[in-house]
Amino acid sequence: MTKTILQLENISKTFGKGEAEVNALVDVNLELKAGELLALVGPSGSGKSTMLSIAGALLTPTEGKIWLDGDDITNLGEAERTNLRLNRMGFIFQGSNLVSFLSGRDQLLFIARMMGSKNGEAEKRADWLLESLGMGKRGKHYPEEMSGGERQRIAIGRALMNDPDLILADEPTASLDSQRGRQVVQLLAEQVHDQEKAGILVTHDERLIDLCDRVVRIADGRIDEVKDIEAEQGHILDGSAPDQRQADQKEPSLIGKLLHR
Amino acid sequence: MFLALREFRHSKLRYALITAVIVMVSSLVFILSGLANGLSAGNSEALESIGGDGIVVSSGSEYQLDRSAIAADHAETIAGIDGIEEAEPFGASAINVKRDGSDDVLGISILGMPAGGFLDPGASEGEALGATENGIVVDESMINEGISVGDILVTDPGGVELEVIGVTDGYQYRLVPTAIVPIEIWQELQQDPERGVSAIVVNGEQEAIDSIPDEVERTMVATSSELIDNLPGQTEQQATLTLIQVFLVVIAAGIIAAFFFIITLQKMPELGVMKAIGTKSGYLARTLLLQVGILGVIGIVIGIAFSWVTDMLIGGAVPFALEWQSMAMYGGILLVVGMIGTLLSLFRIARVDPLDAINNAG
Repeated sequence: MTKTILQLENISKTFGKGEAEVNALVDVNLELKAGELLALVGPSGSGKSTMLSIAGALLTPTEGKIWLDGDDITNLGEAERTNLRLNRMGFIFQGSNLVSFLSGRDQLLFIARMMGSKNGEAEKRADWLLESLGMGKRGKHYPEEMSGGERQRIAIGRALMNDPDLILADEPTASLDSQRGRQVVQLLAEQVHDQEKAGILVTHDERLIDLCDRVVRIADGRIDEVKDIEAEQGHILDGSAPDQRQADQKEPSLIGKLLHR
Repeated sequence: MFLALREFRHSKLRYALITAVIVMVSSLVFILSGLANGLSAGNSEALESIGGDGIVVSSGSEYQLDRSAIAADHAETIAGIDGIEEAEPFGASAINVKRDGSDDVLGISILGMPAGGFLDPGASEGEALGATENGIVVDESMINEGISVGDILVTDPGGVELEVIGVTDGYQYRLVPTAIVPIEIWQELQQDPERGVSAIVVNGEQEAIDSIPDEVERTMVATSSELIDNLPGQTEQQATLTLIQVFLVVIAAGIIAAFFFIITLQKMPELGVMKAIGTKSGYLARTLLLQVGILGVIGIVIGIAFSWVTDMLIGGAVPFALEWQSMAMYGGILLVVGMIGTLLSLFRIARVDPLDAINNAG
């Protein structure tokens, strides 16, 4: 029985007061298990970012409860939530949002620093992550010297550096071309599967949902799980889906290779 | 430390510029301090060197030495008081002299004291007071005028010949070249020889010293500090210079604070991301303070070096005296005030919302 990493129970989030009140999320229930990558799909303003923020302990819900790997994290204070994010979550943002003055390698080492890890172990892990992401030789470069795809790979590395329970990716492929974008999500899916983590991928790009294990649609603050992903995918891609999936399966799993050594 | 140093490495130009500004401002503060000290010393160092547990002046003088006149033999009377160890007459006045053979007139200060007494500083070069009848010992300030041992100075008017027989240091008075002369000669050189001397310098028990005005009529006891404070122009000069220095320190802090504030503002999105991935506000705040501290110390140290070079260049021509104590104090104040100035930036850092990382993606 795989463990439940993330559980949302009757989560609601309201912003503002009186007439200006906005119900960003309404009665959301979700259970995410280890090894599952969930695609969260919906239009702008649907509440995707709010849901991601609550799952990622960036925001506290107005109503409802939330558990991370069995721990109730609903009403933690700001300092505790910051600590939680540092130790147990990995974030990947749309623009990668790397720290401009840290080299690729240092982006990862910074996480270790914050966590108080001993330098020797941290450096080994950072180098290993960089290799598996294909960034082994680019570690010394600054973000401004990297392409969008390279930056996103570093961002994935950063998100994995602390060996998190939960990975949250907010439109990570938005600034990438479709090939690179697909590679990025693939890497993410591999990590989630191989390392038994849970992941939420907020995305506009519906061609990527075949890489995910579950798909949840969100509209006006309410979610709706899509039961049959294949049908959904087929419906969108107009019959090209099966070929795409076969092609993906042939691509080598970079992380998998190194993990199984 | 991790973030602080890496940020420096990445944006070398920007931080070099801030450091350059710190160097310039701290140099200004130190140089001004040097000028202030130099002016003060040039005015009053003679009185500092004279010292004494008490200086007896005439009661009507209001602590102004040039207005004080006391009969020289009061020194004996005072020395006789129980509890007084020693007392000597002392004179300080201004006079014009010509170098023997030249027509140029030089305004100087002359300090009169008994040759070989406790006030007499001796001579670091040449011979001390009293070696010859009209021999005088000059202060370094006189040497800076090109006068040396062996020269003859002739008073103008009066024509009295004074031979420079020795040199000492630390006895400049009223910002002009100063010479130490035997008290008897000093009295002769006064416009009114009946005037007496300027003061009686006393060493002994405080109680005895306090009783002097009762023993000798029309006298009061002053300290060298009180006399220094009442030298014409002294307090005004020091007050002005201190005010300028205070303003400079405040402005310096403002400039440093502004620089770091702008940099912090530019980094707001980045700071949001860092918080989102789990960086604590406290860590970011400490990083900023560390940066201000490091650049501050580097800038101030270079500033000290710069002022020291300035001292070597202009020290002879202009009253200038770098005092390590003043510099350390101003350096410390600059650093602290600079850090306080970054408070605004620290508040901003604390207020950064990690949610912005998600909402303002890219």
